[in-house]
Amino acid sequence: MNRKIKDGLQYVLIHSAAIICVITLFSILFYILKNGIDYISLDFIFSTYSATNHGGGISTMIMGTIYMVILTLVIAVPISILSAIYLNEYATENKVSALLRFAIDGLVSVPSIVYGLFGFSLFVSTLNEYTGGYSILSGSLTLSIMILPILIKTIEEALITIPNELREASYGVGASKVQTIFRIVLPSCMPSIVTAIILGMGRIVSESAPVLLTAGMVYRMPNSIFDSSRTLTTHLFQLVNEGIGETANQQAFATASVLIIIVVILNVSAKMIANKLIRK
Amino acid sequence: MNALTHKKRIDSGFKKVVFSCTTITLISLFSIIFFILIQAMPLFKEVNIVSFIFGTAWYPLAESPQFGIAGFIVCSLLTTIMAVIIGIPIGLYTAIYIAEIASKKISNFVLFVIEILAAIPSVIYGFFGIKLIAPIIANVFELSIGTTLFTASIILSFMVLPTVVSLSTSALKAVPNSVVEGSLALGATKIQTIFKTKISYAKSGILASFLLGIGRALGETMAVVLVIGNSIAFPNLTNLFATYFSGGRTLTTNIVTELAYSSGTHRAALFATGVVLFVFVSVLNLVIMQVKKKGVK
Repeated sequence: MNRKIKDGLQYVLIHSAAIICVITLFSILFYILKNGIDYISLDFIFSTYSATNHGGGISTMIMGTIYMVILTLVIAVPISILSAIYLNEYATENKVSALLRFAIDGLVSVPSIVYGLFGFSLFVSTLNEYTGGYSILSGSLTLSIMILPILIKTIEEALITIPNELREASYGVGASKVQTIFRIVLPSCMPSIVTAIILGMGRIVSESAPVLLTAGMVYRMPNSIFDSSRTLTTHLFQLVNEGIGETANQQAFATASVLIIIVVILNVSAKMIANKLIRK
Repeated sequence: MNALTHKKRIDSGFKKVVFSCTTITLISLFSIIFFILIQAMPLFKEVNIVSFIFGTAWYPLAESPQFGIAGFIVCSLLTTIMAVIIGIPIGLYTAIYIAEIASKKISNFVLFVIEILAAIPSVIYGFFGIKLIAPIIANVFELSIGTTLFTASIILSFMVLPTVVSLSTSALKAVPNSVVEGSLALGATKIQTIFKTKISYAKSGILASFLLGIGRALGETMAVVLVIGNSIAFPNLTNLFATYFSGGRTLTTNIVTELAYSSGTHRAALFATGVVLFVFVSVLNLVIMQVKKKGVK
């Protein structure tokens, strides 16, 4: 009997924990969307923010975010694919590859604010002449280094799943190693790579502390990657932190809603691609 | 014949390219350490390291400025500890639910919930905290302001959950069936098998998930800065209860609050704050590596 009560209590705790997780997520989503969705309009999305009346829309922040996502991916994706190829297709287990893996694990654990400090010190201050100081370029370079280790790890995991028979069959018909990698290995795990990239986009959109320290706070439309720009996250931070203007609160909820919608869409699409993979 | 050597040359050239790409991670890690150290150096010409770490006063702009971050270290530790006290049990029990109890369909759904929790931007956690959680805290505990260390801890506990859940789930799922069957054959119930056999078998993976959760809480910035009240007063260590329900400032929020308008020694002190944070996280990381190594053995 005693055992039954103990077991029953554990069952209750286990179920409650899972329910708490689900409730936490849905209360965040519900609370923010409920307060933000009404303020979202085409006008809010497509008009610029105005400093004089602290009102207007978020078009410039959306552009800033898009710039940041594209530039970061352009820098980080090729490097991470090539690195994953090295680690899975070329590296033998020796001290060099152990050191490289140590560095990748080390980078994963560095807090985002430290990436911000690093980006500020190297890209904003030291390389000021080339990056434009606080700029989209400085932000993207910083974020690239930040997402690199995660991209490498997920892409490598995809490469590992490709069976060796495929590679050997390709060598058997006279293909070189490079040909095998580009014609056989990479195409076979393309969906996983796409999933990794989509999740990487989510991380870039979500990041705020390093962006604040490297891309600055200018809310005007960026003309080039050398301009400072706000992203949606840093704009939300600024709205909450300063809270100037009559509609600051509604703007904040609406901006947060837009962010949530983007993040959920990215995750759902990544999930759909991954599910298709499993069904195959 | 010529075509063959050409192929080989491409192969060896490509190997060099992919190798150099991989070294970017190593170079980055060293540059991060190098650059934050270099920028922190000027501080230690004026302040010795002991009075920086153990100093209780932070007046960077005073006529005779004081740079003591002991209060921020304490706040970082207090919020992190409370966050894991709340987050770890919920996280571990959710992992048990996903790995052991729920049907495949439901466990996939809960896992997806966890993925979205992980994907929500930290600034949104902070925003949610200041708009909804802080007023609730103020109400329940009859405080004038709801932005406190405890509020920050609650928000951090949400953010620790995904790390603990996803890694503990994989650790539990990796326990071989033979171990489970042995326990069941001896007459243990399912719950007993989970808690006595599976968890002890998966303990290194589960412990690693806790430690990674701690690292996540320690390094979080934007969620915390919005809900912690940003007070620089040294926390009252004799009455922790009162301390948890008053404002504070952590290592991370000290950096993000002041960096933009800092210069000279003040700026160096903020980089030094980053160095201290980095040291904390690196030590934690070394412990995690040891734990994982033991698990492999």
